[in-house]
Amino acid sequence: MSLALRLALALVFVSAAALMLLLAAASSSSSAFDQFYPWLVAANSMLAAIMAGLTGWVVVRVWRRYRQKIFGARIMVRLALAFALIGVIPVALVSFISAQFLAKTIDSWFSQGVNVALQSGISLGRASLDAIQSDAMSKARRLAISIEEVMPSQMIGHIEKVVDGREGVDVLILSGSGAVLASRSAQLSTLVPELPSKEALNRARAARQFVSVEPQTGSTERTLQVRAIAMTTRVSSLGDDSRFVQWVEQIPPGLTKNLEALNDGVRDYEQLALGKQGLRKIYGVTLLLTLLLAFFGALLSAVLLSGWLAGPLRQLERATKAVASGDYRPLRFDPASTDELNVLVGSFNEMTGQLNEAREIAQKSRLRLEESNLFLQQVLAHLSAGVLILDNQWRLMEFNTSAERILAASLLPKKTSPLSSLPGLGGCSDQLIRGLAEHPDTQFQHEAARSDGSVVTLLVSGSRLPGKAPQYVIIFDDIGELLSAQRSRDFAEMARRLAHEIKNPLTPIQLSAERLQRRLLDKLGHDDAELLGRSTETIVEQVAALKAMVDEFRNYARLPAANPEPVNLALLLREMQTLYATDKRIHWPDIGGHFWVSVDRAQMIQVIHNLIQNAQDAVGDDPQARITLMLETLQTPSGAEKIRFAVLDSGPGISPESRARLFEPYFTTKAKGSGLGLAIVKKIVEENQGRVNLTNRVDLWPSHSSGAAATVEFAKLENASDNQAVRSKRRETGKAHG
Amino acid sequence: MIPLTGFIAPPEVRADDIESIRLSQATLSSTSDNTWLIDAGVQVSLSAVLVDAVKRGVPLHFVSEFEVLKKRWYWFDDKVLSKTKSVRINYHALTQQYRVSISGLHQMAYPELDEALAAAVNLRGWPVVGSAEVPASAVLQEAKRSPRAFDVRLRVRLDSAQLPKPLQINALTNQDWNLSSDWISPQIVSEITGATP
Repeated sequence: MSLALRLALALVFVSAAALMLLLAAASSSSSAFDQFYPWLVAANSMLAAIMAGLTGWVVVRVWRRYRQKIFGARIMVRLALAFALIGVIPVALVSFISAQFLAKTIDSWFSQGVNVALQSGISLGRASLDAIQSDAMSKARRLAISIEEVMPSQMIGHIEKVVDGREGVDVLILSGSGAVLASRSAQLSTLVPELPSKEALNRARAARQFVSVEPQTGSTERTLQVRAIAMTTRVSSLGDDSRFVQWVEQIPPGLTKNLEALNDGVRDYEQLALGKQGLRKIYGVTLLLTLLLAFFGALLSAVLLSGWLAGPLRQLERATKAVASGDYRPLRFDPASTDELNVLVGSFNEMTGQLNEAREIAQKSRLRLEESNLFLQQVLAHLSAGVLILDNQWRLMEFNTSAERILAASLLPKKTSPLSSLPGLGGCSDQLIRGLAEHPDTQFQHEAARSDGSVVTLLVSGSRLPGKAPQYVIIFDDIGELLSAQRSRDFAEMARRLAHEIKNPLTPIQLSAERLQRRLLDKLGHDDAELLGRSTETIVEQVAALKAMVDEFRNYARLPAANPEPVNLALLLREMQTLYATDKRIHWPDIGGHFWVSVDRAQMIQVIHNLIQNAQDAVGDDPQARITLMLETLQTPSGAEKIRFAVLDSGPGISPESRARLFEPYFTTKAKGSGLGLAIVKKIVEENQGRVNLTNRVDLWPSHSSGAAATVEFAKLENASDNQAVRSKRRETGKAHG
Repeated sequence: MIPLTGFIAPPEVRADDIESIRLSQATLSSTSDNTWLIDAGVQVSLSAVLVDAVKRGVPLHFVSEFEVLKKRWYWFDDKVLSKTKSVRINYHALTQQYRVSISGLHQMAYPELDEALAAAVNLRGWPVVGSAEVPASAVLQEAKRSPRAFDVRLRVRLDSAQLPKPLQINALTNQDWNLSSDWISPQIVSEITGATP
């Protein structure tokens, strides 16, 4: 609830209480608030209207909440109804009884008996006053008669005689023209009593007498006096001689007091009777306003109180929702209070705190798990071996990039497909499943056919991970290169030994054969000599061939360490062109420019020789054949530049079966040849940090026709300049001279 | 429960003009000794309700109000001078007399209501400003000089606030109890010689 509303309500309540008190005070018989009564009624009515409006608004607000099914509204309405009943029923009861009481009481005031009694009192009072009046009149008349014949100077004696010692009697004798003839005053301080008013004299003149009871003039106290005027007319010689005798006598104070009290009582009664309706209205209005204010006050209080009680519930509900959406801020908690709701709030805060803690721990462990997962993935990605993880149904779950590289296939679309459908490894799935069914680990070699037709030799090892639903990890590696390297090393060793063992006896064999020829040639006949010559020649020839072969073996085995230097391949090719001038089938690249690489110059020359030789062997004696040499700069995906030297032929190309073993020593598809040419190329290129590849031309250039393509790639020397070229040239010449 | 009809019902406007206070021939004059006098004819007639109320002893208070307002264009007029005279009439049931007391002092008894009323609302030679009241006199002088800047006005009304409380409720709703003359502007006349008592 807003602060403004609270303030307004407090203000309304305070002013209601104040106005009610004032109204009650004003309603009671007489008080200082009398004159403000209409204003108070108006103000209270206004207040009642304001409270009615406020109550209506608050009730509508609560009802709307109830209809919207806002949490806590139901209990709030229930409480409000209960409180309202508790408040309103007593108020209504008291008001009803008060109203009944009021009507009866007011009616009972105006009973017929009281009315009659008061009227009788009035009659009695009037009778007594009449008696006093007639007494005064008779006195005045007596005096008037007694002084008819008396001279004004002797009148005082007659006056005293008539007064006869009565107290409080003023007597005045006036002539017909109004002149004072004689007077007697009750008080010594006033010499001449009060003159009669003009009206009184006129009346006395008209009726020959006048009597009235009147308030004593000049007195602030409520005293009454009786004034009687008698007129006498004496017809004399001097004409009409009228005289007025005024008898003013104070009515005894005791009687006056009683008479005035009676008069006041009658007046009050009459006023009350006149204002009966008004009185009823006053009490009724006061009662009604009290009822209204109490009623609305009770309703308002009920709603506010229920809101106050239901407030913490709503707070808790909001907090619960906040917790559900992940907001763990604690609620406002007053540690000093022992209120049950406050205790509940404390427990709630404790709970949310624990929840928050648990959530943070979970978050941390999740993060740690993610980190370790990430780490594992990194490790897997950088593993050169292929890794596959399969679920208990032998379906692919995870794999690394090496697996894709080795199998030369994309595994992403194969996810969740069974092992038997995977390329390359599908053929050994039975073996794996069988092996892992018996033992947790298994290992074997497998010749896998890749999707491009080539065959790789894989070392496959599988592991079964423990668990209820076991998972399987399959690690495989392409050991083809490993095997060929093993073969190269074995061959080199064998070649070295063979060369050593074979070369030693060759020279004695050759020498012995030559000596035999020389000694026996003269001694033999023509035919024998010819046979001998031919045989010897064959021996020498074959020994020489054997020697050459052994040299070749030895060269392979004892290839010197590379001594790299900056070499411009374009210049090198131009230098070598002259050596092959006889073979017109070779097309040399006609390009200059900077093709600087860091290689051993002598070894590079051998590589080029061997590759050209290989191409020549491939095309054979076909005069239409064509051997193309290419030199170009390549851009690698990482941004570095590479130099590629390629030798393309138009020969039969390479069969898929032989491709994997092309660079193995002593592997050859040709009738002649040691099978070492490409092995040496590979060895040299790799020692010079390059890469060699022998493939079919269509694999590199789909538009090309048949034939093989041998490519050698080296990293381009970026900062090799002309100066370096000059320097290297100078060194070359220096070497030549040396 | 409680009859509220009189309270809630709108005040009825009486078409017949039985009760009224009328002022006529009002003049304001200053004497040589700087006393300002109001002279006006007043006719009062009471409705039967009021006459009945008086006869039942309800005192009626008649208030004569004299005001001088200084006109202001930007706000309510400034009340620079205000004089009132209150007269009470009540009926003395025992003596069957109507008693008139002016400003709570002078008490006179009249046997007839008309006489009492005539005496009560008499506005012949009402000294609104005495010779000693210099500032008030100055205001009246100024009003006399520039009548457009001032609003001098006079009225006589029945003071319902002085009625007994139950009757005030009636007065709130019933036109019978709201008796007042219109405001009239007395004519300011030139000096007359000799003070009227």
